[in-house]
Amino acid sequence: MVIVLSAAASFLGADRAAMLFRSWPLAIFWVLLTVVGIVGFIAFPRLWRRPGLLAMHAGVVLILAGSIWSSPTGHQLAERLTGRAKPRRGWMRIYEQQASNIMAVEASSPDQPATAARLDFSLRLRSFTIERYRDTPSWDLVAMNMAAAGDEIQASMIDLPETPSRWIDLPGTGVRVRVDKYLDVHPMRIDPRVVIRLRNSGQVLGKIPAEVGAGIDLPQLGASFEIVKLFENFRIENGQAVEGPPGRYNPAAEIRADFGQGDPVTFWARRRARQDPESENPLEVYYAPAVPLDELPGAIFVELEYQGQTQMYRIDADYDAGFGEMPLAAVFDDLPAGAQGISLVLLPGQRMVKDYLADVAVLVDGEVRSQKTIEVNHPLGYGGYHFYQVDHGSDERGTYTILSVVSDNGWLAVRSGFVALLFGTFWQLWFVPVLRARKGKGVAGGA
Amino acid sequence: MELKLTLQGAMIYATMVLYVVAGLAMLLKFRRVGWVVAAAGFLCASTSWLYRWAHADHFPAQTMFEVFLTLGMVLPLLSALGRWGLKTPASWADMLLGAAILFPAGFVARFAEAPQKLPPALQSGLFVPHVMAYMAAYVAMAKAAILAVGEILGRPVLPGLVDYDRATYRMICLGFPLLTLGLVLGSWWAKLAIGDFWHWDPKELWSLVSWLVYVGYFHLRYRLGRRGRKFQAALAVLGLAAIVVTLLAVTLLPALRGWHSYAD
Repeated sequence: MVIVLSAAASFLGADRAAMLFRSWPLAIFWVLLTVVGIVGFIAFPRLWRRPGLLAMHAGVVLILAGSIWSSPTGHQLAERLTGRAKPRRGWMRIYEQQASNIMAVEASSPDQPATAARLDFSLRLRSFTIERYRDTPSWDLVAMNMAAAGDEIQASMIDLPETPSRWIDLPGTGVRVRVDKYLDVHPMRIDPRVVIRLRNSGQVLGKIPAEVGAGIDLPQLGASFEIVKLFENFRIENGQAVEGPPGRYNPAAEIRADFGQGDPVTFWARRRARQDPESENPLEVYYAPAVPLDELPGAIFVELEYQGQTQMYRIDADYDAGFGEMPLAAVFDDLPAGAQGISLVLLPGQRMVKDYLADVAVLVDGEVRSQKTIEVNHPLGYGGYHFYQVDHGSDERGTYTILSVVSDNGWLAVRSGFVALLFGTFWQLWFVPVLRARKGKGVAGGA
Repeated sequence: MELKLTLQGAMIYATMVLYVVAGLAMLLKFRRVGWVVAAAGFLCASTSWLYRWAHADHFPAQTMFEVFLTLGMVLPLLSALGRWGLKTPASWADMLLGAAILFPAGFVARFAEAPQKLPPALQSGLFVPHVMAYMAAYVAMAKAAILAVGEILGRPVLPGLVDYDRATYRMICLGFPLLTLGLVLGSWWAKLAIGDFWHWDPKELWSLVSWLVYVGYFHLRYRLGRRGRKFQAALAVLGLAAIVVTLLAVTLLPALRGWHSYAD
């Protein structure tokens, strides 16, 4: 029955399969199966004379019992027996240098709202860091429909792999693309600067080094620009630009622009967003942060195939424009109409993540009881729960991490079952036959 | 389909040729020549595998390309163990199986050769034992299924072997603990990585199906002994079919994609 159900459920996807296997009829089945396993120890006394077989069966029974105890139904049962509610699964959001004991509890079904619970202890996030591979590109390659406008650009974006890859079809174009290699083409460190460019053509009109007092005259505009203030962590409070708390990098420059008519205008140049909103302003002025030497692969070789023709192309990233672009229409003459506006675009991105590290301390009444750096594959276990690093982000309150919180109910039984099952299997099928062979009885051909 | 015109590709093709030549030599009773060529094939497969390890900068078992490369390297070891340890010959069939196993790595374009960095979830001490246990188990079960076919056909299709039933049983005895180890380590790893030891993911479900088919085999064996041998042999073949679904279909069929699709 389990074989047939498992094979059929594999086509449902993990979430629906879980719902199926946790449904009431199957919950009864699992309990009965466990009971049958226990009864088997009495009904088949031969098991007791064979330690391997006994351990295998005990292992399976322990795994089944532990699984039932760890299930949502098992948690409900535990709550009825002990009178103490223990959420099975949830999440915590903890800001850097702050502590929290509030857990958002996963709803037992999609139509029920999530609730909150308080743990008996708090977790303090001392620091959160992301380790990245140094030898992966810090640029993203996407296929983007540049003819579309606004949000539609996002909708038609296809992420292409970071590393040399297999062929990937660009839907609706008949074109296939394969990343060949990324290149280091900028041998110099690029210092931070403010870039002034024409929004429509992308032409860079001028660059100002990011220093207070630095400026530039642009005769073609009849205008001059001067940096009057710099921000490391730019924030706007009550309509005023202020320096935010240290630790977060959100640079900006306050610019005074004199267009020769009326009073000078003051505005803030911030980092360039990937998707600029439609704007009436023909000028785009943005802050371009420093680019360290080791962050500089800036070109990519791609192979394109269309109607049997294969060609290799190089796309260079223009740091000041913020991206590199190659329209497919410039490569192939006879693309279908829907593919005319599609470009391959090299965008500033980030290197591939190697690990997430959340350094946390467990606090009870303000006292540190335990501390650990939670990494992927290395959760924190405390107070009947396991804590896993699952997400991160930052907002106006600072950098935060999101930890998944999972009850450890049943895990001891399951773990013991794993050990018993492995011991029994290897004992029965490897060590017993070898011992028999050594005693001259030959390798067994059956029970 | 594509030819992989790289040093890695060349080593795969050389291994395939050596395995085929070794298999044919053994089949035509040139056993000594066959074993020498098989040893050369294993050397080539091992060099190719180690080269991949150095090139990818991690244990080569992340992508399907690397999985087939590893299977092709493990197979001669299991074949030698079968021949000298378990008295289950038919090494010529093993060599041809080795060439067939390497075929996807050598010719299927989808199983690309480009190495990938290990994502955080795969950086675990359980990665290598989990994958290697499964690789060795799969090879043992593949050999068991070949022997089981001999039992089902009821005639000596493999020279030098008479008792297919017993040989099948021995190979399954070799492979089943490894299959169990792979399943348990995978489950333990899932608990450490994402919180639950079982997710009802398609690959997990099919690995459970494979395991349960062999559990059924052993229950029949222990209840009936050598009676009902053909049915037991059919289960051995069915077990391999479930393994093939676990290994391939879950990666290739969009309907079965899930947590494990990073292996593509």
